[in-house]
Amino acid sequence: MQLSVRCVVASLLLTLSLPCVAGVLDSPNGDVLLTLRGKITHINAQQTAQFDRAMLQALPQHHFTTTTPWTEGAHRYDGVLLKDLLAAVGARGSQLTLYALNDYHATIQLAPLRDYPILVAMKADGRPMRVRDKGPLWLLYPMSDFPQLDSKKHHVGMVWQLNGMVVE
Amino acid sequence: MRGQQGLRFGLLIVVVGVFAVSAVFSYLRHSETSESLAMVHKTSAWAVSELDSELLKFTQTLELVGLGARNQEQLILRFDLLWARLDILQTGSENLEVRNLAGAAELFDQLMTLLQQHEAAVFALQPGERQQAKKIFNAFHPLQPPVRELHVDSFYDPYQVGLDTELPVNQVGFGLSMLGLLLSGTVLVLLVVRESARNRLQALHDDLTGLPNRKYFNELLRYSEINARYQQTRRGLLVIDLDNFKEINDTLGHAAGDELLIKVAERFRKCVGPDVDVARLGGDEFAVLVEGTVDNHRCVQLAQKLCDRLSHGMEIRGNQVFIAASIGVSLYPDDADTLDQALINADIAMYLAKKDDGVSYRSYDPAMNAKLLRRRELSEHLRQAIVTDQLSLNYQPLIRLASRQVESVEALLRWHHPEYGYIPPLEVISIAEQYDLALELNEWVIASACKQSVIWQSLGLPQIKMAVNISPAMYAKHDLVGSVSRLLNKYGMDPEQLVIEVTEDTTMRDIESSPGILKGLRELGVDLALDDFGTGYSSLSHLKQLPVQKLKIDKSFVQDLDNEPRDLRFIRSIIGLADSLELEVVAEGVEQQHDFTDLDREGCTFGQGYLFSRPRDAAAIERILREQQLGQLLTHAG
Repeated sequence: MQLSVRCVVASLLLTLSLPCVAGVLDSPNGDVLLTLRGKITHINAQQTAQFDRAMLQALPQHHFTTTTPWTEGAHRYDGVLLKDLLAAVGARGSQLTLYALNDYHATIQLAPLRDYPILVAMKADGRPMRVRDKGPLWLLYPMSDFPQLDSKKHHVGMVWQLNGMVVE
Repeated sequence: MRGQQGLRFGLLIVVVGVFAVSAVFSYLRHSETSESLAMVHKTSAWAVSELDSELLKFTQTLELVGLGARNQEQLILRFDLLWARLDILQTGSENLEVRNLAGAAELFDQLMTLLQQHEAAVFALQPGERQQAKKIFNAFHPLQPPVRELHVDSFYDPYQVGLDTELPVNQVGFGLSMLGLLLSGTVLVLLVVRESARNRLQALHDDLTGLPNRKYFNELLRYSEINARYQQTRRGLLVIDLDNFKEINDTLGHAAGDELLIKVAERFRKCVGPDVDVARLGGDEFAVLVEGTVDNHRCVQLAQKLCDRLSHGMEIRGNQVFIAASIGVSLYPDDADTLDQALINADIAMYLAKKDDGVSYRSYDPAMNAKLLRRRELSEHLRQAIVTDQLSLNYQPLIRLASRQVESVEALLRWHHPEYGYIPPLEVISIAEQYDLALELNEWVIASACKQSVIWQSLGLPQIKMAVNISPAMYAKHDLVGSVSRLLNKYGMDPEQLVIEVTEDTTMRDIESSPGILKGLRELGVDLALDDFGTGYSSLSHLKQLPVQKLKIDKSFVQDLDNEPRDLRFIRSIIGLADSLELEVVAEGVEQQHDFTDLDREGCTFGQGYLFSRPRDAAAIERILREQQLGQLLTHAG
């Protein structure tokens, strides 16, 4: 009897916490590539939403071809749209601070970028990006399609070796 | 006018708006540019500093792995991060300028070669392999100082990175905002200048007629005088005063008066040439400055022309209005040393033109000024004389022709001025009227006459009436009835002993109010005599209404009796008229014995003149009355 009561309580608690933990957002199985925190409603770890490569690949995929001031020639980049990613974590903020493996960080305003397909790129020319190729994740703007994004103001926001985001 | 104001306000709002937008835009552009410049510098310098620190971190991690304090994964991350940083510096447009720094490209190539050479060794390195780690460390360590040096150089080198690509865009925006600032600033300045010009124009022009005002005219005079002096040329000044403006204002209202002034100004403006300025000095007073070729003839012609223009009637609010003007003309430097003085002279001439009926303009003559100064001085002295009793009265007897007895005396004003001597009564009265002394003077006359009359009575002399002359202002401006009533009371004089002589002109001029005043006097019991009869414009119907008891035939009619052949028709008809109106007749200016005979025969009741007596002082009159008591009558000049 006591056991069954405990089971009920436990399952109740589980059910209550499910939407925040497992129901919407899976837990990562592989290496965590990206950790989101801040004003987000869907989380899968302590106050954060963690993503491995598989989880990112499970989201809708998008690609564009662009040149950048840091590479030679135009390349095709594949990955997840920033807005899809933010939707996946139920982000409710107006700005985003991006963190990189090399301790670089930058803050961007979301409103001016709302109408552009901003990409969290995972592949360059079909191949996963290594750290030395500015991988594994690179927040990229479609600069060739929208030349107005090719400005110093926006360059600082295109964080390579991306591994964290804080929604503010 | 309102629409125009709205438009102006709208324009101002638009201009201020453009100014504000341009200013804000310019500010934003400025901050954006400085931000962007800082960013350019930051990113470029930052990339090199990052290389410096990545290299340092890699070599440090290498040492720590050798000591077993870091794992392989951590080392590979640092290796890859260093690789990525170097790759970024070697490729792409952002760090082009960094690569162009002296020795930079070579240094990067050297480092990349080193990375490629040791890639396998780094990936194979296990924690604790101290010797191996040391070996790799030694390969990378020598590059640390040149990288640090490049890092420092990159901070001090004036970077141009990004400026070529970014600034043209800024330039256009900046140019536009500057243009906006410049244009709106210019328009604002123009508006301010225009507004101040309008204000100045308003301050210097008369609101009503749009003519220059007194202030502006004075300025014109100042400049004109300087030019006239320099060019040694003449200037003409005309002062114009409308004669019956007050009347029109009073009868048709101020709005009509304003309309009249506008029309008059318009007429003046139309009939003067380009070298003539017309100004409104105030009220109904205008002034004209004539430049160019000036002589008296031209100025007088202009005055004539202005008068002619005015003489055509004008339609004001449905009324046909006729206006006349008096114009004074003065020339500079002929009449005055300054144009200001010439303006005063023109004013004097205008005043004299106004005084003389039938003259509409006069040129200034130095005698005018002397005359005016004398009048002004006399007016001061007259004021004193009234207060200090320096005036006196003489009395001219009026004889009942039938009995040849003195019936009354006419009090006549005498003023012996210490400097100017004898001042004619007409001048004294005219000065009193002009300088607002009429009330004091007339009351003095009435009071003195009353006093004298009471004295004679108390001396037991035969009862005679006392006649006084009253000046026109007493009817027009003051309470004559009140004054007379008060003075009669004060001196205890019997009202029936007092005769007030009024002129035809006085009674006619104020046809509305005079009967009221005369009636008032009659009600006090005072006798009234109509003076100088036959010289004015009395109509018979008016004469019938006047409550007078005596008609005094003007001396000109009596003197006509001296002509041969003697013509008695006028005298006869006047006496006939007087009889039918039941008035007693007095003949003035009786000087000849035959005048007396004729008048007596024609039925004239009274006579006054040198034949009987000149005006005499009180003592002489007393003597005459005493003699009369003794049966001695005035039949010959005494």
